[in-house]
Amino acid sequence: MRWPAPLQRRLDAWVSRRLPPGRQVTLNQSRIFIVPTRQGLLMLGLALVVLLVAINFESSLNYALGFWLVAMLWAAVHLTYRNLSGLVVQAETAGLVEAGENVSYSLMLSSPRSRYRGPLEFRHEDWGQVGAEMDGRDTQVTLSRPTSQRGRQPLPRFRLESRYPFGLVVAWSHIKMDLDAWAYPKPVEQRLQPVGTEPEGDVSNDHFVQAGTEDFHSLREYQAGDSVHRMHWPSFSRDELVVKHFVDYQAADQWLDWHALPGLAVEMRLSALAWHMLRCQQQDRPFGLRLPGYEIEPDKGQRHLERCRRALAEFGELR
Amino acid sequence: MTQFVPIMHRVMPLPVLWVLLLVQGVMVVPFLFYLPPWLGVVFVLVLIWRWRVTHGDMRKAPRSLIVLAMLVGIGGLLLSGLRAYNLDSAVALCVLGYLLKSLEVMRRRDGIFQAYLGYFLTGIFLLYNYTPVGALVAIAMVLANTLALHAVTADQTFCWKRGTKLSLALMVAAVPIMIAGFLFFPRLPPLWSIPNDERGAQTGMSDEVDPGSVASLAQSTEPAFRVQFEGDPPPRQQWYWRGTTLGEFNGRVWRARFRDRNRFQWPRGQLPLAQPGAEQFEYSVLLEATQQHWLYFLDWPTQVRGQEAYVLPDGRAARRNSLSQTYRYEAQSAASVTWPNETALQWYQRLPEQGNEALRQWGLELRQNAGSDAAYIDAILNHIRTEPFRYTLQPPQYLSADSLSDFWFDGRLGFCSHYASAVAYLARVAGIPSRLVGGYLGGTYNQSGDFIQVRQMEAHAWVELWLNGQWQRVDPTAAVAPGRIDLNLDDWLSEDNPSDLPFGARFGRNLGPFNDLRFWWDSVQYQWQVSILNYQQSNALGLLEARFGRINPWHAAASMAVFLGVLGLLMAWFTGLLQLPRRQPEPWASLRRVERQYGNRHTGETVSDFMTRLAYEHPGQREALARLAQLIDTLAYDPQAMLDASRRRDLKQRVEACLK
Repeated sequence: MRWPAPLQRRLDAWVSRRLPPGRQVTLNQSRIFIVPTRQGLLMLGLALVVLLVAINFESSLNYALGFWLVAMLWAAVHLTYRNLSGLVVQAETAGLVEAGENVSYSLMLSSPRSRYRGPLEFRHEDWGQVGAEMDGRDTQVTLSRPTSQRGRQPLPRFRLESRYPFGLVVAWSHIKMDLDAWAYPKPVEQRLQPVGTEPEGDVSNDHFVQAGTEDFHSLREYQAGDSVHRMHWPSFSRDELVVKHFVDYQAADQWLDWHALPGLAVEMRLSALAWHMLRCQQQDRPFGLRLPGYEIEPDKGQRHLERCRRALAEFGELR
Repeated sequence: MTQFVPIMHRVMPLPVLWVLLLVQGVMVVPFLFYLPPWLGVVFVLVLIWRWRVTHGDMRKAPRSLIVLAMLVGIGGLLLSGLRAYNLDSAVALCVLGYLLKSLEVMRRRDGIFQAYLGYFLTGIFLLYNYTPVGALVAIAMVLANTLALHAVTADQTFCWKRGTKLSLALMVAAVPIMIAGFLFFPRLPPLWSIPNDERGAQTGMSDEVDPGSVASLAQSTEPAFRVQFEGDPPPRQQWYWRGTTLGEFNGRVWRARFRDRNRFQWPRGQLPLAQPGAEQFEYSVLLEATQQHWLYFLDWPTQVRGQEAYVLPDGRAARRNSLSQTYRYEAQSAASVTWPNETALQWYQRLPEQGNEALRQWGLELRQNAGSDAAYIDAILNHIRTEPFRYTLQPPQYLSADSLSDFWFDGRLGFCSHYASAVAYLARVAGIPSRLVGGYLGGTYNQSGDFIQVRQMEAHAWVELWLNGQWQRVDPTAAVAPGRIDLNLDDWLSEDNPSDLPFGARFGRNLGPFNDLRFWWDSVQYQWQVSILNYQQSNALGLLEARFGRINPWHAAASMAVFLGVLGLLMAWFTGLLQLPRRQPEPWASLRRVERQYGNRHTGETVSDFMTRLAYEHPGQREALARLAQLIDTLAYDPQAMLDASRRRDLKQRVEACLK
C-alpha cells in the first residue's frame, strides 16, 4: 500500500526513528507489527454470515460455529506473532561487485530457543521476496540487489514478514541492518599519461624485483636461516660461507596513479584505474595503486586486486 | 522495481492440492445423505479431474468438462424434484458450486476460497444435522478446512503432522471464546423470515390421512418427540398424544379443517377453548423437526406456551411456521374438559354423496336396531370384537371407491387408521358428529433422563364422537387389539406377530446391554437438545445474575476485558511467548541474596574473589563470608550435594549469618 508522498515520508521517518539500524536486531514487541490480512478480515465477514444463518434459522450450533471462527482469528494472532518474536537478525557479510552487477548480503537468523518459525519472507522492491524457512536455532539468508553506481551499497530497510501458519494475520517488522556492500567502478579503457614523479630510465629496466626460486642471480653471504640446499659448496672449501641467491624475473612495477589521468571526471578516472587493474591482473603483472591520500604498494594476485577495487569503491567516502 | 508474483496468485504445490482434494471429500460426502445422489456423480467427475491435477497435469479444466459437470448437476437437481425455490435446492446449488469451483483450484486465492466456502457449508450442514453426531462431523469439517487454510499458507513447507497439530491447536485455543460467545450472545429473533425453509422430508402426522399412511409411519423407529412432566405423569393407558384433528372425509382420505394450505386463514385472537377439569398435567415437549405445523399434546390440550404456538379450536395446537428444527414448548392438559359451544358440528357430519353404499346400509340398519347413539357405537365395537377382524401392520391396500366397505366386509385386516376411519364413517351415517384424531399412543419412559420418548412407531389414529354435548374419545383399536393400548407397537407385535415388525425394531430387542445403551443414547440426545439446541442466552445470564446480582453493561465490558486478558496471557504462555521467571537453583540463589546486600560481582570476578573482596570491605563479616564462600564452592561443583537437606539448611544459616 502506498500513501500520499508527504505522509509516506513522515511514516518512513517515524519507522526509522522507531526501528534504528544495528549490526544485530532482536525482534520484540516494540519492533513487530501485527494486523489481520485481507484474508483474515474475510474470515471475520464469513463468521458474521454464519452468525446471520444462526439467527435467521435459529440454529444454535451455528452460533457456536460463528464464534469459533472469530476466536480462531484471535488465536491465529498469537501463533503468527510467535514466528517473529525473539528472532535475532544478524548482519554477516556483504559483497564487492562491479557497479551494475547484483550484490549480495548475507544475514544470519537465529533464536535463543529452538522453534519452528515457518517460512519467513524478506521483502523489498529491489529483490522482490526472498523466503527462508526457519526450523531450529539458526539459518542463513542471502539477499541480493542490483547496483547502479560505484560506492557504498547499504542494505536498504526491508520488510520481514510472516503469515504462517494460517495467513489470517500478518506480522512484520521493518528492519534496517548496519551492513554495507561496495561496488567498484565499471572498467573503461583510458590511456595513462606518464606522471612526472615516476622514476624513468634504468629503473624500468630492472626486471627482477624480488627474491625467488627461478634463476641464479649472485652469491651472497650466509645468513642464519638460509637453507643448506642453497649453500655454495666450492666456496665452503675456501672457508667462506656463501649461498646462492635466486630471483624471479618480473616486469616492472606499474603504478596506477590517479594523476596519470588528467582531464577526466572523478568517476571516469576511477573507471580507468579499474580497467588498468584488470589488465595488469590478466597479464599477471604487479601493480600499485596511488590515489590522493592513499596508496597501495605494488603486488599481484586476486586478494591484491580485491583490495585495490575496494579502495576504488570506497573512494570519496570518509575514512 | 522487481516484479514478483503476488501472494494470492502463487500456484500451489502438489501436496497442498492433495490436501484440498481430501478436504473436499470430507465436505461433500456428509451432504450426500441429505441431497440428491446426483451430486455424487458430479463429485466423481470432479474427483477424476482433480486426480489428474494432483499428478501434475496443471491444466485448466476444459470447458466441455465444466459444462458436462454443470449439466449433470443441474439436470440431476431438476430430476430429483428440487424445482421449487427452497432451502434444499439452494443448498444443493451451493454444494454444486463448491464442487465445480474446485475444478479450477490452482492458485492460492482459489484454495482459500475453497476453505472459506467449506466453513460456510459446515454451517449449512448444521442446519440439516444437529445431533451430537452431526456436531462431531461438523468439527471434522472445521478441522479439514483449517488444515486446508494452513496448507495453502504453508505452501512448500507443508507437512501433515505439523499442519494437523497447528490446526488442532488453533481450534482448541479458540474454544473458550466460542463457549463464551455461545453462552452470552443474545439470541435474536430472525431478522427476516426465510421463505420455503424446508429441510428434508416431512415426518409425523400430516393434515391428510389416508388409512395406509399411518401404517407406513409405524415402520420407523425414529423419535418423534420427548415429553417431560412436572410431577407424576398420567397412567400409561392415557398416553394419547394428539396431533391433528381430521374432520373432512372424501370417501377415502380424512382432512383437517386447518391445513398447511390454508394456514393464513387460521382463526386468530380469542378462541373458544376447552375448559380444564380438575386433573391437570404440566409438561414440556421437545419436538423433532417435522417440517409440519402440528404440535403434540396429551389429550386434551388446554394451554400451550411456546414461540408462535397457539391452540386451535378443533382441539390441537399449531405453529404458523413449519417446524424446520427441534422445537420446545410447554403445555398444559387436562384429563377431562368441558367443551365450549361447538360451532362446526354440521361440518363434522358431512359425508360424500357416493361410495361405501354397503357400509352405509349396514350402519343405518344397525342404528335402527340399537335405539340410542351410545348403544349404536357399542354395537359397532362389539361387532369388531366378535367378527374375525385382525390388526396388522401390513394391511391390503383398499384402493377401490368403496374402500371402507371392502375393509369392513371382505378384508377385515387393518391398522388403527382403518378401524378409526370406518367407525367415524359409521357414526356420521347415523348423524353423530365425528372426527379422526391423528397422533401417537404410548411411549417409553426413560429412567435416566426422566422423560417419555415417543417414536414414530407409536403413531396412532382414533375417533372422537360428539355425544352428550361433548367430544368423547373412542378407540376402536382397543376392540380389535386390546393389548396395543397397554403396550407399544413393537412390544405388542413381538408377542403377537413378530414378522410384522420392521427389521430395525426387531433387531436387538431382547439384548439387555443393547437396550441400556439405547436408553442412555436417548437421554444424551435429550440433554443435547434441551441444553445445547434450545439454549437461551438468558440461562447463563440468569445464573450469573442470581450469583452476582444485576449485571450492567460496564460490568459486562469489564469482565469481557478481564476474560480476554487472562485468555491472552494463557495463550502467550502456551505458545512460549511468555516465560515465567524461573527460580535460580542453589547455590546461585544464595549468592544472589548476598549480592543484593553487598553489591554485584564484577564481570569476570570469581565467587571466591568476590567473597575475599567483601571480606576485605566488611571486616566484621570476614568469618561468615569465608565459611559461605567455602560451602558455595563445594556445592557449585557437586550438584548431588544439594539433594542433602542438611546441606541446604547449612547454606541457609550461613547466608543469614552473612546478611546480619
